[in-house]
Amino acid sequence: MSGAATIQISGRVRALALVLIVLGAATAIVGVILAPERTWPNLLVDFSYLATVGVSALFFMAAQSLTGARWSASLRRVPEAFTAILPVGALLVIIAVFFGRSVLYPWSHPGGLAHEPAFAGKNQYLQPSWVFIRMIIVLASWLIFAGLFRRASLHQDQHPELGLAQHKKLTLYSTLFLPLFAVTLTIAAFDWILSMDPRWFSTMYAVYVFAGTFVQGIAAITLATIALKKHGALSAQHCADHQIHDLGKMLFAFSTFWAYIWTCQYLLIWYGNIPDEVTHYVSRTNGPWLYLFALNLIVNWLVPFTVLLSVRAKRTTNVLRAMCILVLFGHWLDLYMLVAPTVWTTPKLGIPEIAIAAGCCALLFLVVVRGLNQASVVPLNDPILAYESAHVIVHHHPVQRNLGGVEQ
Amino acid sequence: MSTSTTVRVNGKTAPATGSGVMPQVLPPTFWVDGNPTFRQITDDIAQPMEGRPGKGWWICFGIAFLALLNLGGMVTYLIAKGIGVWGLNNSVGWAFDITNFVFWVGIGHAGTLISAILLLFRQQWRTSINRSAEAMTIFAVMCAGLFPAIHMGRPWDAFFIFPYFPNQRGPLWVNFRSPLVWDVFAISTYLTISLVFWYLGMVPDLATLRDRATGKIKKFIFGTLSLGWNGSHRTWARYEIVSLVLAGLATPLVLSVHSIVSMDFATSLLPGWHTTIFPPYFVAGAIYSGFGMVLTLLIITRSTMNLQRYITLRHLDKMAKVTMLTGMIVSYAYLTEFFGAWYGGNLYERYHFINRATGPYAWCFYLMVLCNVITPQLLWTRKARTSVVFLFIVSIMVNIGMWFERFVIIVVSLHRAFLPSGWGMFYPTIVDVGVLVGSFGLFFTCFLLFIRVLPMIAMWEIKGVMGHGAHKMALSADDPEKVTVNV
Amino acid sequence: MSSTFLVATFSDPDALVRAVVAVREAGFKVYDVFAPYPLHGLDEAMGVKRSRLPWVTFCVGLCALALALTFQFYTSVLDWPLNVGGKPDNSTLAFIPICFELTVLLSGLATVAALFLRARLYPGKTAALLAEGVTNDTFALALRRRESGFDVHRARVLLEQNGAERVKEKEAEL
Repeated sequence: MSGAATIQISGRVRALALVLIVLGAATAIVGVILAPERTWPNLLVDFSYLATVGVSALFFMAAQSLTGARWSASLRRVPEAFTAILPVGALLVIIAVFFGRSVLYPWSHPGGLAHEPAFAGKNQYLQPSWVFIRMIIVLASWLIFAGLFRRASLHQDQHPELGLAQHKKLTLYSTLFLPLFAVTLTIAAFDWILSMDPRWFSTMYAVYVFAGTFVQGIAAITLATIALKKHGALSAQHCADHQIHDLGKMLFAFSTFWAYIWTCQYLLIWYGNIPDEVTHYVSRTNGPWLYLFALNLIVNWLVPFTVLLSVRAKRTTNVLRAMCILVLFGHWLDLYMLVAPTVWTTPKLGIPEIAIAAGCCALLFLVVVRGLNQASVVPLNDPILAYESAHVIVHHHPVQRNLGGVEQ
Repeated sequence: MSTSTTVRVNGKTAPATGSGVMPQVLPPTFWVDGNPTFRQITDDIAQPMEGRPGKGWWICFGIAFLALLNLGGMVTYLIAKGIGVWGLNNSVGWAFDITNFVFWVGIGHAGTLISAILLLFRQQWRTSINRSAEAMTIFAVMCAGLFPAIHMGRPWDAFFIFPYFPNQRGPLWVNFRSPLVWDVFAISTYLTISLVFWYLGMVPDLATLRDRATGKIKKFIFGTLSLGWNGSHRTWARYEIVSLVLAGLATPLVLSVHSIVSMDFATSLLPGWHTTIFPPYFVAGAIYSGFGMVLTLLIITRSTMNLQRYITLRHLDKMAKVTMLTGMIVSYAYLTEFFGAWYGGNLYERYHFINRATGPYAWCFYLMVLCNVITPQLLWTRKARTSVVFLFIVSIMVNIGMWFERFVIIVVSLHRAFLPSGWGMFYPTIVDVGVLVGSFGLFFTCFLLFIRVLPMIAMWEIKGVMGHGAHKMALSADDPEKVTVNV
Repeated sequence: MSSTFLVATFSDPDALVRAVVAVREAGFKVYDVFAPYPLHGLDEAMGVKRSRLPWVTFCVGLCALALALTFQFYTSVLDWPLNVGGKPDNSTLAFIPICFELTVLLSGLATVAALFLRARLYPGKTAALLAEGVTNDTFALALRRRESGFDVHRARVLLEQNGAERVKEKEAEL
């Protein structure tokens, strides 16, 4: 499917996006020079956000492939398009962590870990050169797998005779990616965010970051799928109501999973009440931070959970879309709440925060649209899809059952 | 097979090939071999309940029943003498009792995962194994419940753990902030909901059995239990919705149960216990051990009960994959714990993990690593995952490994906590071991009776999968071998 | 009160679904279908509305949540406050696990109870089987014969044309 782009965005929208990117970039550059304490935490939040949405999409594809899911076969290109943000995101994360280190990370200063006991592993683990080497390895592994997935997927488009071979290849990549993802995301969470406060750590931390990241990916993919459906790029055959329903179920389930992890971590630390350990929550539940702390739980779980409880809501694209946007904002807030209270005494939410975040959104939007336009919106020669389209009429009763349950 | 193989994209029919080659297709996997008719399905599944049990069953039952008798004897002795007959001491005040409790609760988790989570995820392979896995859950939770009761020393006062009216303790209530009270609520909810889910799932099959029963007693029992079920579709429609609702409730429930069990430890301040990763780590471990037990049970029963047609090698392959995945999550948690101890710089935490790997109980730790970290790695090849004998050995290893994991967490943390003057060792007595062996007796006796008196595979669900159009198409696909390749 | 039904039996579930559609198009009301497993696509074909039983779950769940929270609050804060481990009397965070468990327990039990009530399933009930083998391998379609406006002959022909293997009249109490 070469030739005309399938997703046409109007000149006005493109211009607006470009303006936002320029504004965001300008704010970032001016901010870094004039107010680095204010700007670097913002950049870390926003750039991590871009990187995690990309890697989360990769994880989404791997999970679908490993569970042998058939329902999502026609939607594969959507997560693929989101992985296109990874090169940009990786570069930006490197910029934020490397150039922002003196503001963000106490370990970057000589003697920054002087208060730690000599036997603590963090003295070795947080040696700056090691942190950067690990960062390169983590980001490179994500980029390599994103490239492998995309190449096999596009290869399948070109070669119908290799449909099953490429399908197997994708499954193999998924199998290899999963354990790698567990390790690399843990490293990313510890090195880029947790190490901002070297006095504190929690063994659940990486799981917590993973839970948020996965919900973010699901919300982004669902939002894009709904947009494509409304836009007409995904036909009803390739994006049926039950698929939207399934995406809604995933959003519902993993938002609740995030809340479970959130509760467990908070409950255990609150219960233990060990002075070294409670610092993290003390700073987040005092003063004006408390409102954001509560808001985090409300937008990431309470509202999506209550709204998406009913089947009808999960199938109504407008409702589901609103929830996706809410959760996408929620994950930004979640990252903000991990980063900001460590460096600031009071929350700062003003024009710089909004401008930089808006610029990143616009960048993500343009990159994803470009990613979608690079290939057919529905994968060609996918053996699952080929089977389904060949049998869609034969095996079905005139009406399709709308219940999940037992049907495949 | 239909030949309409063009792929429609954006309203246009895209030239899928360019060279006229048809795209390759991947039909859905089918989970029953040999395309049996509905009647045959009923006959096959009812057959173990109607015929006489074979020699194998009697041998297993004999051993299990002996172990159960041993349990009765041991528990009687324990209650008569007091828990001093266990190897507990001032340093290690909790050992086999709580280890066995956590082990058995964990075993139960696979059943709920299969019946609830896989239902929500539409994994069709669950249909052949969900009934027996749910039964396993219930028996395992029963075994688990035994231990808190007997470790009280005065089990006749066990009702003190519940809040109740009128309150004989005056206005003094149980402490709702205590994880042990959470446990009481979690385990009793889990047992109740699992029982209800299991029974509800069985009602249509009980009706089938009622309608084919010849004896008067059987007819009466199945008639009572099947609640007058007559196959009405209006009831079926409601029934399916309620099944989904229960699955939706059971899914967070199963997560909560082992999370709460883990909080018995994690809310304390003891090195090796107080760590935030415990809840998801315990859940993953529970599913891992549960799948180990499901594999053990099904590998035996599928051949002794002639159910290979319904519990195929593909089922074993899937279960082996889940075992492998959860085994890797457990390994990840071990690694995180060690990393935390190394990174964090807490002296006691650090000592605890050094002691785990080099102390007097190091052999338990290495056995645990062998069984839970290395063994699942042997399942990478399909050949390993579909070799019945190999899988059986792996499943036993998983069971052993997970028992030792709990032992390591509990006893190694307790025996050398903060003050060296409070250190000590735990050595199990004959009663410790006897009760553990006896709990296996209780479990296997229940399970062996279950497969004799109740349908161990959900007939109606199998029929549903067989009757579904997609399955028929998969059967008529020209090359059934290709189907089994599905990953 | 018993009524008379026209019962058509099928061995092919797809034929039954087609027959349901045909019968309804011809203006008959399908009383019920009897099958050994829930047939896919039959809800729409029969015009069965989605069950409202999840509402029971929702309402009972909410009540159970409120009950669990107030009960724990009452016992730990009002009735007999007790300092254990320095935790505040109102430890809402520590009340969450029991709130959750009670919500699941009560809403789950209530849903199943509501199903049994609504579908009138209870121990000791004699199953009214309209055809033999509907719990094994037979699929049956039942039309209720009414006093007026029910053309037995037409219905019979329609069912037979649509693949019914046997069409019988049967009196039963459902």
